[in-house]
Amino acid sequence: MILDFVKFINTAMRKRIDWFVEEQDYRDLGMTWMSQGNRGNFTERWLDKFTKNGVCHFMNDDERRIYNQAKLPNYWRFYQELIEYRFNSDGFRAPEFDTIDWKNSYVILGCSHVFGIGNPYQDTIGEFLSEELSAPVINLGVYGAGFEVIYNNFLKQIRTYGKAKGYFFHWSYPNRKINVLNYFYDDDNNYKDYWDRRDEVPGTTSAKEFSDEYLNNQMYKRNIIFHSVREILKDTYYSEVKEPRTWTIHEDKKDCAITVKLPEGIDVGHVDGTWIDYPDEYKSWYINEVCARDIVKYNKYDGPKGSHFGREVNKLLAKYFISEGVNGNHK
Amino acid sequence: MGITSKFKSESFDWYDKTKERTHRDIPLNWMSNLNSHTWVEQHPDRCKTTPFLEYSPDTKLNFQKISKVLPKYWRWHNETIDYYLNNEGFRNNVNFDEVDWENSYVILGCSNVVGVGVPFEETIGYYIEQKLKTPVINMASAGGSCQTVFNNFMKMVTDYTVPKGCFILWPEPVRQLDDLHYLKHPEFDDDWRRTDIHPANIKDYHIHDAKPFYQRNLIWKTVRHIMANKQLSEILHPDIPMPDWDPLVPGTSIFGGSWEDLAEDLKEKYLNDYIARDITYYDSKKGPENAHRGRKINQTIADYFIKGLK
Repeated sequence: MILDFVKFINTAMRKRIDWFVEEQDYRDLGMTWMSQGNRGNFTERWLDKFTKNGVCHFMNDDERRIYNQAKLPNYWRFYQELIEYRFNSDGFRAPEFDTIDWKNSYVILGCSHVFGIGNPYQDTIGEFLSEELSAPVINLGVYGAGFEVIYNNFLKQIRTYGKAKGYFFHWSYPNRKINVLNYFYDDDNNYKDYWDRRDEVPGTTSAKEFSDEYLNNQMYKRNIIFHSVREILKDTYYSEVKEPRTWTIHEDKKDCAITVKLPEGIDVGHVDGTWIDYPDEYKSWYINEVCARDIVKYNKYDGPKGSHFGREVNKLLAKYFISEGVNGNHK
Repeated sequence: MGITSKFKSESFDWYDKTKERTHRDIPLNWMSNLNSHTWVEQHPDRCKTTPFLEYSPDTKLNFQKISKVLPKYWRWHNETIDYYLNNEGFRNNVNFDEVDWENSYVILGCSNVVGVGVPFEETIGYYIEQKLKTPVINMASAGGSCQTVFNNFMKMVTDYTVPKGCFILWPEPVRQLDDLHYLKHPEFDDDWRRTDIHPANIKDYHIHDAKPFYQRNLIWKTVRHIMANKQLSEILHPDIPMPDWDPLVPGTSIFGGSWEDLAEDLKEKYLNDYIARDITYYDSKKGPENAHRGRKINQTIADYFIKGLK
C-alpha cells in the first residue's frame, strides 16, 4: 500500500509535455540517454529502487526467477559464481561518462547481448574487445534495445563527448522498435530529463503490431540509420554486426558469420532431442561457455534453451568485430 | 489512380528472411515531387516544363475553377507559371550529377520551398541565390515531412557530398512518411514508395504520443552533426517569418481583420504578393483560403534564412 503510494507520487511528480499546447516551448530539446534505467522513470529512481549503490545481481525480477527456478546439472558454474551488474549514474554498465577519456576509448553499442546479461563483466563482448585492443571499450549496451535506441545513444555520445577512437555496433533484431511516449522532466532539476520509451520486442508485443506497414517502416528506418552512421563515421574506425543471429555450433549453417568450435572429440553439435546422447564434458562446455546464466528452460533431451550468449560466443564476436572493422586499422 | 496502375512494380516481402538479409543495407532513393505515386523514370512530367503541378493544389482544374471568381486584378489571369522538374523530380534547372555541390547551397522542405503556386523566380531558393550570388539547389518535395527532408539530405550527402550550406524549412511534425513500400522494377532503381499526407488529412494516430517529436529531434541532431563544419540555417515550422503588413493599414494583420473592409488596392496586393496562385476557395466577404505563400512572404523567408546562416 505504502509502496503503491510512493510509486504514485513518483509518477505524478514527473512533468510531461502536452505536445498539443506546449510544443513551441519544447521544440528543440536536447538528446537524452536511453538506458536500462529510464524506461518508464528517471534513471536515478530506477537505480535507487533496483540497485544498491549502483550494483545489483539480477537485472530484473524475471532474471532472478529464471535463476531461482533453474534445474541444471551440478557443474553449472553459476551455482558458484555471482554476477555483479555495476551501473553508472546514467544507467549503463560503464564508468561514469565524465571520467572517460573518450578519444582514447572505443565504444560498443547494442542490446542485452552487448550489455552482457547473464555474464560477469569480464565476459562481455566489450571486455574481450578491450583485451584485444589494449584500450578501454565503453559498454553502451541496453537491455531490450532496438536499432533506434542504439542510434540514439550513439548520437548522444558523439554530440556530448565527441568522437571516440572507434565504434562497435551490434545491431539489434530488425523487428524491434521503440514507442516514445513522452518527454519527462523534473522542475527541481533533481533528475535528468528523459524521452520515455517502451521497447517493443517480438513475443512481448501484440502480434497485430507486426503488420506489413510496420515492417516496411522498420526496414526503412534501419536502413537510413545505417547510412547516417556511415556518414558520421566516415573517417573513424568502426565495425558492425548487422543483427544478433550470427553464430552457430553447426558448421553446415552457411548464413552465420561465426561458428563456435566444438570441444575436442565432438564432431557435431547437439540439436533438439540429442542432448541426452552427449557426454558431460560437452554439456558442461555448452551450458558454461556457450550459454549465459539466464537459461530459461532445460530438459535432458533438448538441453538448455533461451539464454543470452555466453563467454565463448562473446569472445568470438569480439574477434569477428575486429576482423570486420573499416576506416583504418584499430591499432 | 490511372497513372499508378500502369506502372509495373513488385512489393518486397520482408517476411522472407533470405530477402531481408540481402536487402538489409540498401541504397537510399530520392523522395521527390514525382515518385510518391509512380516510377520517376516513367513520369510524364520528368524533365518537362508544365504549367501546373499535379499532386499539389496548383492544378489546372483548381485554377479553372478559382479564376472564375477572383477579381480581375488577380495577376494569374494574365501570368503563367512554368514548373520544370529535373530528372529526379525536383524543381531545378540542373540535374544533380551536374551540380558543383561544394560550391552550392541546398534548400530543403515541403511545398513552400518547392514554390507551389509561384514562378521559379519567386521561390525562396531563388531569392537566396540572387542575394548570395551562389547556386541554391531546390531539394524540396511537396507534401514532404521531416523524414522526407532527412531522406533527401542523407541521399545527397551519401551520393555526392556535404554541400557548402543548407537551408531547411522543417515541415510540421504531424506529417510522417506513410504507407511505405519497398518496390522493385526490372529496369529502374528500387524505390521506397510513400504516401505524403497533407496536414489537413492527418489521421489521429500520427500524433497520439511523443514519437513524431522524438524522431524530429533525432533528425535535427543528426543533420546538425553532419553539417557541423558547414553552413546551416533552419526554420522550425510552423514559425515561419512573416513580413510586416502594409503600414497604411495600422493594426491590420494578414490573417486577421475583415476581408470585406480592406481597400481594393490592399486586396490586390494581398492576392498577388502575399499568397500563391493555388487558392482553393474565394468568397468576396471572407477572402481567399488555403493558398501557399506568395512572393512577398518568400522574400521575407529568404532574408530570414540568410540572416540565420551559421
